[in-house]
Amino acid sequence: MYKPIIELKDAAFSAQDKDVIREFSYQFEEGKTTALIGPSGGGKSTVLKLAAGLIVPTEGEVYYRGRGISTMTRAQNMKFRKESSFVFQDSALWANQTLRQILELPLKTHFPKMTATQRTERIVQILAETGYKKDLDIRPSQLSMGEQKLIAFARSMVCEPKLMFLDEWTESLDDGSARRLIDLVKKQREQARTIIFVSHNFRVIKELAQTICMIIDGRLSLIISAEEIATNDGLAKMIEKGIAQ
Amino acid sequence: MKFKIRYADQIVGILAILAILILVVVIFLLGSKQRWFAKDYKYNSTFESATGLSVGMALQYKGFTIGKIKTIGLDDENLVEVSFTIFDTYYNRVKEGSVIELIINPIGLGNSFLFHPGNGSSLIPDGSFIPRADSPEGLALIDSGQVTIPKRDDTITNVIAQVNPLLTNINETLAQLNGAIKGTGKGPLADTMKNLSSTMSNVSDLTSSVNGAIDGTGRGPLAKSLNNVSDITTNVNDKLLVEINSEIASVQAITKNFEELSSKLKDPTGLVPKLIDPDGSMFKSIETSIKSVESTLSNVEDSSSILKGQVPQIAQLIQNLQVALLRGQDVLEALRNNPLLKNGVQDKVNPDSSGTNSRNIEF
Repeated sequence: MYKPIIELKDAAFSAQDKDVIREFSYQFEEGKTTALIGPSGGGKSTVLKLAAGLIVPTEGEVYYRGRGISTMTRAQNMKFRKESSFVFQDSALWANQTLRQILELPLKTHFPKMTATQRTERIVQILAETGYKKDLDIRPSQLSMGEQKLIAFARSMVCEPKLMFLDEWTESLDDGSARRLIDLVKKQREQARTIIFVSHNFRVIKELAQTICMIIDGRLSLIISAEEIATNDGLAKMIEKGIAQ
Repeated sequence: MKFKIRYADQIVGILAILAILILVVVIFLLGSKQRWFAKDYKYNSTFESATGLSVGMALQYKGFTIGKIKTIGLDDENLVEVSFTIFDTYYNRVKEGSVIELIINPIGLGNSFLFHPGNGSSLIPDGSFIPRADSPEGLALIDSGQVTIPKRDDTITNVIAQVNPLLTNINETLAQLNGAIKGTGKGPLADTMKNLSSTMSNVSDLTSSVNGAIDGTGRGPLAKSLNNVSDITTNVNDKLLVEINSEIASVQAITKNFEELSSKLKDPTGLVPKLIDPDGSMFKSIETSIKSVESTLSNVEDSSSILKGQVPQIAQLIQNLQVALLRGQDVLEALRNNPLLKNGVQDKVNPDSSGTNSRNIEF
């Protein structure tokens, strides 16, 4: 029987007396790459955080492999955290830690038996893939925005998650770095990992997404397949115009 | 009479010392109760707004007060900086990955300042920053499994606040619905229900008629028509469709062959031309022949146009020849009858065949 990896069922989210997300229902298919698009302030990032279980819906429920995230036991929650990762729009690196500590922390939590040498090897490998070449014993404040994004992306990949949530992860990166990260996501996609991302970049959406969900005013307004975008120029232009707002 | 208590000074001294000791003990006991002598660990965090925060507010963990807010102020980036302490008895809970959370009650029945201990192994040192659970850093800690936020059970007031208006609406709706069902109600819902009732009755009659017609027990034109249709369908299914299917299969095969052939022929580099004429010599030879035929036809066309112009002269010539032949016949007959010429006939001069004018002909 088919079971989605993530399902939002009648999910709603309110903050400060404002309905951010309303009656949102959608099933994210395992192994697929889905883009959440729409105008700014429409609720894309909130949907992403709901799907990742980082915030709890005020109504409805979010399910991971058929199990409600808010009702998970601690062990189930830890398993979910191990199998998923989130890249934040503003990197969200821990300011009081060095880059090495930042990258080691998820490994220490989810792979407690891993030795320090193994952790270092994994970190070096992942940083080589992302293209970060600077010192590891510095703090995030000593990095540029683009470099912080690379480290945030490396942190999300360090535990080899099955499910990745990416919130505008290529914004403020130079072309070369953005290209490298897009290629890395492509590689993850080829390994049948589930990727759910938010982006305003039409090129990125067209290149990566297999399904596109348009969110306007907190509601799921349109679901489009990559084939439709590729074959329908009018639709592609409409999407490009819509996400540019 | 004068009384004198022996050791009065000593007794007073002892009582004074006892009082002081009791005072010290009481102060100590009070102090220990008020945590005057305990070491507290200081931490700090930032909030977007000071709403719901107050100095002295208790920091709670699983219902226990484990610390207090000491100071609240604005920092250089206009964020609200909160410094708080955690009691030494709970310091061992302040592990790597810990976050704090402020829950503001929507109807003002008391806010909660909560502590969520991290899953890390090492303790967070005194004076460190502990992020808010809803800050990006806090969310990153939650996402990486450093901390688990338990499901809150303090939303009862929130729910109650929403339940009352909801119940009122439900009551109103139920009243309308009951009235509509009983047929005593007024308004659009009741009217709709009445219409629906009569429609359902008609639909029920119609359904029974159709059912009768379908299972063959019905009467009337619909039942007869359906019976006829049934017979026709049986015939069509049994014979005609089989034949049609066979024909369609044949036609499809032919069409497919044609398609393949035409596509192969259409392609100048295709397999068929290559099989017939692998090096292209046949094609060239045919091309040369066609060109020759073309030039010959051109010559024929020219000749025929010339001949066309000469036709009247040729006709005249033939006529003259006929006349000449008749006269020659007469002459020969006369000669045969002439006794002077019995020895033979003189040699004739052959006329030039190229001459086309009858005037040049000699007899």
